[in-house]
Amino acid sequence: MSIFKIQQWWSNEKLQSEEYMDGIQNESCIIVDKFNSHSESDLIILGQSSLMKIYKPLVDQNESHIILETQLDDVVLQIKTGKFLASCADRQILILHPNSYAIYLLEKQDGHAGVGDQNIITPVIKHSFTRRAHSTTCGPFGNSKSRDLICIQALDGTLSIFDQDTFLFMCIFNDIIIPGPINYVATSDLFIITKSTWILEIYSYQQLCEFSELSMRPNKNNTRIPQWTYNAGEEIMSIQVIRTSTNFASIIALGERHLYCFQDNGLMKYIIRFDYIPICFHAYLIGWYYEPNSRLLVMVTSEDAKLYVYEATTLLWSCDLAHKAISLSRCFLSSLPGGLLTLSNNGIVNVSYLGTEPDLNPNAIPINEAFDPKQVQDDLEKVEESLQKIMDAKEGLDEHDMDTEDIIKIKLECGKPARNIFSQFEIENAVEPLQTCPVIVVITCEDPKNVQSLQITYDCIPPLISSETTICLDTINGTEIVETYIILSGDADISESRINIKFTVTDNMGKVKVLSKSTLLPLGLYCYPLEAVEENSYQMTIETNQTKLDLTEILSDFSKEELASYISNDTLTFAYRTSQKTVTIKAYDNNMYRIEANEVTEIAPMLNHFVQRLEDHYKRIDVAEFEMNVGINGEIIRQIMHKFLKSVELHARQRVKLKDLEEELNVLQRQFTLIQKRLLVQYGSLPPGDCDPLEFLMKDTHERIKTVAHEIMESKNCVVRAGNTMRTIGSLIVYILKEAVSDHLKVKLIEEMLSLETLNGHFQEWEEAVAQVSSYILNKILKKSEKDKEKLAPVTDQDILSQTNLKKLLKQLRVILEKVFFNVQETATDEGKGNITRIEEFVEVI
Amino acid sequence: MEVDSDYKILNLYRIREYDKCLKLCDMVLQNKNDRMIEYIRMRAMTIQAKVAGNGYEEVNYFPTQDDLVSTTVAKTPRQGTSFQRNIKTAQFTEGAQVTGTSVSRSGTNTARVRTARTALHTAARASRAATALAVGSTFALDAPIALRLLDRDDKLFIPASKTLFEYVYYCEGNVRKAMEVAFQAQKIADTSDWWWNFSLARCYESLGVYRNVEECLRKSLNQNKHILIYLRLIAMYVSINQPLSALDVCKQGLSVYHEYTPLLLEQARIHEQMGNMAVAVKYYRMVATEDPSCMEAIANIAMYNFYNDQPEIALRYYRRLLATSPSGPEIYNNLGLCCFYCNQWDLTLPCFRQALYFSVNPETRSNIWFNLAHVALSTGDMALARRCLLASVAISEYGPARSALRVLDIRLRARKNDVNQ
Repeated sequence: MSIFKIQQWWSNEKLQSEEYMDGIQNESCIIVDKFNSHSESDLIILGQSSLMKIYKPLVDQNESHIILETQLDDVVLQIKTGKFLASCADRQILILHPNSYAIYLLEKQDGHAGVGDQNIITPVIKHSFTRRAHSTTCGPFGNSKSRDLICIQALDGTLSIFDQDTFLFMCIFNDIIIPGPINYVATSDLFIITKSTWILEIYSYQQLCEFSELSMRPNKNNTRIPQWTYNAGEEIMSIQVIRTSTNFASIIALGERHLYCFQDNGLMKYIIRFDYIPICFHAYLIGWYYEPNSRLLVMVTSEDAKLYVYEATTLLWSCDLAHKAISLSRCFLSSLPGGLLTLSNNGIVNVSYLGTEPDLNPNAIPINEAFDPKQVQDDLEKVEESLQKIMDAKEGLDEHDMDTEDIIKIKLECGKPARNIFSQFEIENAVEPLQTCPVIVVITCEDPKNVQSLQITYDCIPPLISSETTICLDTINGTEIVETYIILSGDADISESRINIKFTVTDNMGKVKVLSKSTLLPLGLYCYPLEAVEENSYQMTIETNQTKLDLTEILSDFSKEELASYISNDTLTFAYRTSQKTVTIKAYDNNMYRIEANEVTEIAPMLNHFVQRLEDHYKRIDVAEFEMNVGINGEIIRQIMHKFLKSVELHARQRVKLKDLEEELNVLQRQFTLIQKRLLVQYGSLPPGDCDPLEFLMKDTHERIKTVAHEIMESKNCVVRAGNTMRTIGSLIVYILKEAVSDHLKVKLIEEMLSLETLNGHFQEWEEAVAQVSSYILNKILKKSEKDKEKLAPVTDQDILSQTNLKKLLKQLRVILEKVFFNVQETATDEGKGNITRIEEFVEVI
Repeated sequence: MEVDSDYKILNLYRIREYDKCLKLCDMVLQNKNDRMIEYIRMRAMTIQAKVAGNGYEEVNYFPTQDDLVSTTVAKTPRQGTSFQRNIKTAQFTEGAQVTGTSVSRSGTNTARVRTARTALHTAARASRAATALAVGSTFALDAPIALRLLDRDDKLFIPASKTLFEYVYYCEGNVRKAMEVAFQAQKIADTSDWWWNFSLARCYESLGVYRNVEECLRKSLNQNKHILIYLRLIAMYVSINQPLSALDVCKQGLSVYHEYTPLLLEQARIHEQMGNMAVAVKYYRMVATEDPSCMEAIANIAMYNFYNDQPEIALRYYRRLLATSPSGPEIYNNLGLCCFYCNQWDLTLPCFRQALYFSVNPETRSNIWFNLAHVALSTGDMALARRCLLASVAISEYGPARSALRVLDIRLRARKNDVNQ
């Protein structure tokens, strides 16, 4: 965050000999103080495991910086200095060990004949105790004038007060789990104790005396009311007390992310909120506390080894520390007044100062590779040229492009229909196959290198399902045979007697081509022969220019033996496996066939299949001049049309029903979430509220959601069934149109308008799409009068599926179909003239 | 002489060496049961999870747009009372420049702020505790024995409850259980403690129950005017899209903590989000004088100057940022733009080169190319501009480059036609 770096002045790195262990030091293992024997400079006293070292940093590299290094008999927990003995003028060193404390006196003896000085520490007092110690604080407790007393906090939070080597009293706190820092405020004789409730509690020494175990009377209600408390809401990591005026001291406490500053009477001065993790801090006063304009500054180090200096909440300085510091203080050395003393986390003591030499752009690594503009220009031109080459070559490529048909040859074949070939699929998808039939795709590729990948997509319309919808072939070697299964299930009408398979070929140039193939499904997949049914209400005749054939010959899917028992008088009846309805084929006169059924829906698939078979047959035996004519009379057309409109209406009705159900589900779902949320609040409230009614509501809603979901599933099936019926009749109409109407444009128009193949796509709703097209055709192509237009125009503020709009749509469809069927037939004579105008109209459509 | 392991653990905990501390705790706890060490272990895990899950960031900006939440406010608020602004006009009228800023914004925040913002944007709002869990804790989450066995009648429950709460909330991510701890603690402790209300608010917030959050925070504010409560209140109002209430809280907070940086920063951010850039900059300036190392404030002041037609001043701010913060693509991009508008042609392209060198994510790269196209366009080099735009589109399709390219193509075609005629 800063352009500045701290400048190192002295370090004990070279003086460190032993290997450093993690966790043997903490913030209070180092102290800086001045002693009478070394009055010109501060001494640094460092405890490291059981070693005590005293340094006196000097500028001169040749002189000894280490004053004393001694091995103590126990681990050093904390070092303090103070006047613990009344008799001695110099300050003493207090070393806290886990089970004892010792007070030492530092003495300097002049060497003989100026050889050098000798420093020794002499133990003055040693006292042991049983509770394992955590930390200590000392000071003139209870306004003791002559010397400092010692307070030791044990690991369980107990405070023991000692005077020199005498135990005075002990206070037990039972709300300390992890011992925190304790501190003593000399100006007002207060103790600051951090509790595990993350509250700072401030007691006077007098109070602590009263709490002591010795004076505590058993019947006394032992509530301890502190002088004042502060609830920091986070764990306090360290505390420092600094005298800031003659009457007051400041208490500075460091939490996890905040630094609090109080006056010793509990008045909060400020909080600093850090956006980094602070590790340790040091507060110091510039000037003397009795001066009115002395400034209290706080230095904080962060986890990412930065140093920040604050005055109140204002940031004065920040710089890089170069190492992570666990302890921070200021020292006054003879040649460096006001140095910064840090103890790093690997035990190295550094003395440094805030340098002002800024390090600009410390972290920018500029790219300085020089480049020659000419060179770049040349390179660019080269690239441009090759780019242009590719662009030019593109047109050429298209010409030389091999036809995908040449690269790949595809053969489709349908196998013999059978039951339960493919039970695996049935189990996985929970469908009950009525019949299955294998579809075999044989792909031959002369040069496999020409093809990168191939994807086969099967497009089936329910009730037919394919076992695989897509198959990807990443590599093709010569010939690939892919076998999948077409499965018939459900009870909807058969609407398509073919299966479409799309091949997406990516060739070696990365070009994508799509080939579409379709094959006729075997009749046996969805039909089975039955005893002949003579009486049928609908019939369609097919007239050919060849003599009639034996029906068994045409319908070669079944063997002659299979059909032989059912055929009579050239009449054959089939029943659909899904709907169990029948359709009858008759061959009569000399060259006529007739397809009969009780329902229009039954005729269409059989008609398609039969006609296709006829054509195939004559192609096979090489009869070129085969012609056929499907004879339809006006009456049947009217009936079919009527049926079609009825089926459209039914489809729309079913969709409306489905929509209502979906809406209901939506509402129920919201209701469910809301109840859940309320319930959660009830659970959470204090005391927990009564949840029974809400729980009942939730269960009830859940039941309702389940029922509605089931209904939706059923309704979906209904929609599919209605859609299939519509599609079947629609395709019949289109077929008839093709036969009856010679105006190909119109037929195409109608076919596109009905766009039956979009019915099963999920991207578009059929009615909505058709309504748009039909009104366009009606208005623009058929040129209705204004009045009619108004009458038939859908109401814009309502859905297409609404009652009025649906009626209008049906009417439109009827008008269009009637127009095409009958007007054209009537005006067949002046067709030539009409054609021209119609082409113009079509141009307009485009 | 070997230091006892419990002293080592205490020391490591005090000097924030949590990884080492946890390792040692695990070792010690295998052999013996020690309450203090167990609690230290819990604390260390909690703090790590808190750091990883941004538990210390009181404020995180992402207004919730949940239709099903019954506590949200009206969908069509009055003008100027919410963050929903019509950004479209700005984009279309100012044209090319705007993207330059949107880049500069996200980028010039410090690394820390950036993680706080972007990482959390992506993380689910639902539970901060849960995100903390997902991101941070690599250690085994076996609940300490104390947590399972501690009875609420135990005399240790009160001193331990805050530690337990934070552990459950951040490490286990179990908001429900944390709330239980909080309720029990509130029931037993007769004195009212602001921290419990504050913590309950945290729980409610992660459950998305904003009304209770407000209630709890207000209650705890009555008990103690801690800065955390103000920040959380502001965050709460911002996240339910009530900037005016948030500003009100800022004002209240500032009357307690005079000129306090975190509050000023929030105020500035809210004003900025509401589109009052001029007001926001006033506060950003105040923040910058209090805390000169605040990247966000400096970056925003620079951006304001840039759009205020003072690119020279913006340049100086950006150069300061470059000197003090880790360099990234955004800062160089902004420097490049400033140089460009200051007519320091020799520095423009090198700056952008640096930006491209540093950029890693495709959006930034795409934006830099877009800005380069802008530079090329103003030098009149249409071919270069087109090439830059192509590069931009090739890197990321969803920038403004696509429409710019289309416009440029139309221009070029029109010009060709003019020439032909």
